Amino acid sequence: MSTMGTAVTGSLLKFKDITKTFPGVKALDSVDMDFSYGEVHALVGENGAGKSTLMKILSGVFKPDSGSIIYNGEEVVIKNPHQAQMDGISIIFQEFSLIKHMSVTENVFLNREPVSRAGFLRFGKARERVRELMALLDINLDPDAKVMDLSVVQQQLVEIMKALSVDARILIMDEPSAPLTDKELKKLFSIIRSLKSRGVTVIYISHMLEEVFEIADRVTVIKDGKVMGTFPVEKLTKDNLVGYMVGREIQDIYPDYGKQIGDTIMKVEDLSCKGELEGITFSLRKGEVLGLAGMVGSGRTRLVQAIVGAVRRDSGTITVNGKVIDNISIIGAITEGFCYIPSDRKLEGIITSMDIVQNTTITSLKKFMRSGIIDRKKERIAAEKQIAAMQIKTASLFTQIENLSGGNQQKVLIARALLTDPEIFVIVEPTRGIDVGAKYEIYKLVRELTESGKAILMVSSELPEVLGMSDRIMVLNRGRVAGILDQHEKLSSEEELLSLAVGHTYSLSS
Amino acid sequence: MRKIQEKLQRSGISIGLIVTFLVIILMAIAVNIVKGVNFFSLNNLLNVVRNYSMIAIAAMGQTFVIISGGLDLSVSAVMASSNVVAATYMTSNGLIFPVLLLCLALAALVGMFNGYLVTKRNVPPFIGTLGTSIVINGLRMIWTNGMPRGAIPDGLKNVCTSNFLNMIPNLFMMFVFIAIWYWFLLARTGYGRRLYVVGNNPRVAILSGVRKDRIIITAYIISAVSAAFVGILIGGYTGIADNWAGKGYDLDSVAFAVLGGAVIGGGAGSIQGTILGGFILLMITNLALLASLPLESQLVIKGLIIVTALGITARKR
Repeated sequence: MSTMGTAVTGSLLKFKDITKTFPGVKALDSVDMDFSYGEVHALVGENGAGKSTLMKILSGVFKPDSGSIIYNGEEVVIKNPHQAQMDGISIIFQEFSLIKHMSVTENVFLNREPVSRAGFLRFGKARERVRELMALLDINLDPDAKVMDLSVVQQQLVEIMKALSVDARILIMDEPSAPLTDKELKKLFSIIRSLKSRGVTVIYISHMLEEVFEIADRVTVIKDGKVMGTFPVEKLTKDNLVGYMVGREIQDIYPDYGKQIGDTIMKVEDLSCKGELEGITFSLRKGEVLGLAGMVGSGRTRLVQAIVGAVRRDSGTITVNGKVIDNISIIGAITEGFCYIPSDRKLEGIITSMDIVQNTTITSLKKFMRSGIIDRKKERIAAEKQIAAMQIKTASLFTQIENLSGGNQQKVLIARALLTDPEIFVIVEPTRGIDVGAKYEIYKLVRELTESGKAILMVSSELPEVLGMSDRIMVLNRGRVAGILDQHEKLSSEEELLSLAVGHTYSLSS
Repeated sequence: MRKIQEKLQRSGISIGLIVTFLVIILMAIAVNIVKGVNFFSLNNLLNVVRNYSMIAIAAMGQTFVIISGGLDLSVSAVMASSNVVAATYMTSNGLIFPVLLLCLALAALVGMFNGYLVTKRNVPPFIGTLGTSIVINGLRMIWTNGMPRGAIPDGLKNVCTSNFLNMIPNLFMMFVFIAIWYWFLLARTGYGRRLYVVGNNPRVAILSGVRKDRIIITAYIISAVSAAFVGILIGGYTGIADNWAGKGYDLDSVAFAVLGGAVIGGGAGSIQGTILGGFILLMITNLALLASLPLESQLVIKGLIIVTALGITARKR
């Protein structure tokens, strides 16, 4: 198709057969997509479906293994983010890339400051350009204000100006709405519409289907690295959109378990963290796995942190075994019988330069100490016992933990937790970065824990995992409980779960 | 073979360090033969050992701070100050012990302040301890008017200059005693284990219920108290009050630890490593001296060794 002339319709950008693999994962599998001039094109899919990878390829952060990108009628190779920007492709990431200590103007022209022939900055000119951009977008900001003094939405506007200052023709917005209030969102939408009317193509990534229906012209669904289809928004309903997003069977890798659920061990009532969580109420019973699901930014992590004492809660009560627990420190949480197995093993889990024994015993070190001195024999025996019980595969007890596989590292972390005699396990993304065989072993371990009466709160972004492992599933959406699905009455479907997570009220929720 | 490697790894001393040590012994023999000066002469060895003992005590304190992920640049300032305070108040032999305790207590306060800056106020250790050292140096200069008063009592001089059983310098004996103590603290106690965890991954430390700030502050206290003790030993050894006693020892102590395998940034290091690393550094400078290289070239050699050692550890990370 010819792209010459003043075409307002027609294709501005095309992906042809784009494939990208990371070690062990096919992130994108022959993706074909096209984007028209001046359209708002929404990209939806589960966590990890490949949306971000695709956008990183478009903005030059990653290179595709194969396939081509046709931009403006020519095949292009996007070498790096700078080149992408110069070509008119700008991306606004979830985490803003602004420099907090610099002014609005400095940020907008970062790395492209107008300079005089002698090499001096022409600051006045830059400021003037910023004023022009603001007039265009109908924004009112002080060009000299420091970014750190701005609100989140104002910072986002600076990002948008930064993108437009290079005459962006394609603007990619990755989850722009997550930090915004409804009013701010309306403002953002009106700016998106004005960009659209000026012929800018906006690629809008969001988990919030309502937003997609409000702002998008077309929607492309990506699942497991494949394009499920591109649809004009008026031909879609929320139900069939969710259907496209899910469309897969639960693999049968989850162990059977005797469902011996006991008494309530923990009650959380009306828990709130300002701006992140509101009125969270639920209970956890002995011998059960309570899955905690929700999209990125739904408040899952914050809830877990508030429970284990890593962040303070603003209000609400937590009762464990009938005893009210105040805002506690992590140390307090451990003595109350909590244990926390974080998602990022490298950052929050393992102590890289230490051996397996030392990694296993760190949280319960006191047990192996007499007047401050470590009884190394006692320590070794205790660790050895756990390591044998977990069937951790290692050449020696004194192997450095970084030499173990991800699955075995995860087992060490579970062993570490077990040594503190916990009653409530809080496990985040238990199988992230672990291969399928080892996943099964972790699932089995989790089931062994519940059989011995432990209660488990499991956060997971993998829908099949949540559905396969949980006795009940609590779904969060924008910091609130969107619904609790009981898996015993009937197994929930991915559709039900996802509908709750994306804020499309399904028959189940109140 | 793997067993041996594991043993070594757990012993806290790298193969590289041992090889370097052996190479330097060979160099010493070579200098011996070529230049005809004897590194191994009793006189020279005693000199090296006395000097070494004093810096090494401070360096072992520094090792704690480096393992915690920090750096203590107030070592020299604390040394000079305790030296001057000791000279001022140790007016008789009977006062040696009480004044020693006073100096150590003052140093503990300095260490606490350093630790407070680093943990509670998030000041980068480099800047925080440098600032502390400037303040202490300034206070001392105001207090002494630039001219330290007092004298070192004979009792202290005797202890610091004489030899145990007429053979081994008392200074070295003190060093050995403290070394065993520190080694035990680091390698066998809960404190030591937690210190490594804090330096290696502060986030894991917190999530494991380790009282991170307390651990770090204690490390700075250990370093400051060690430095203050050395300041007094220097006084006893030289016999005079010196406003700049121990000048340059802060960087020397860092060099000892880093050569011994401590990693700037935390999580790695050991007492035995620092002991060996320091000995290597001091031997080399002493060999250069014996080979009658000018002072300037000695400095160049020392600097190159430190830079190389840092380059190697940095690449490993």
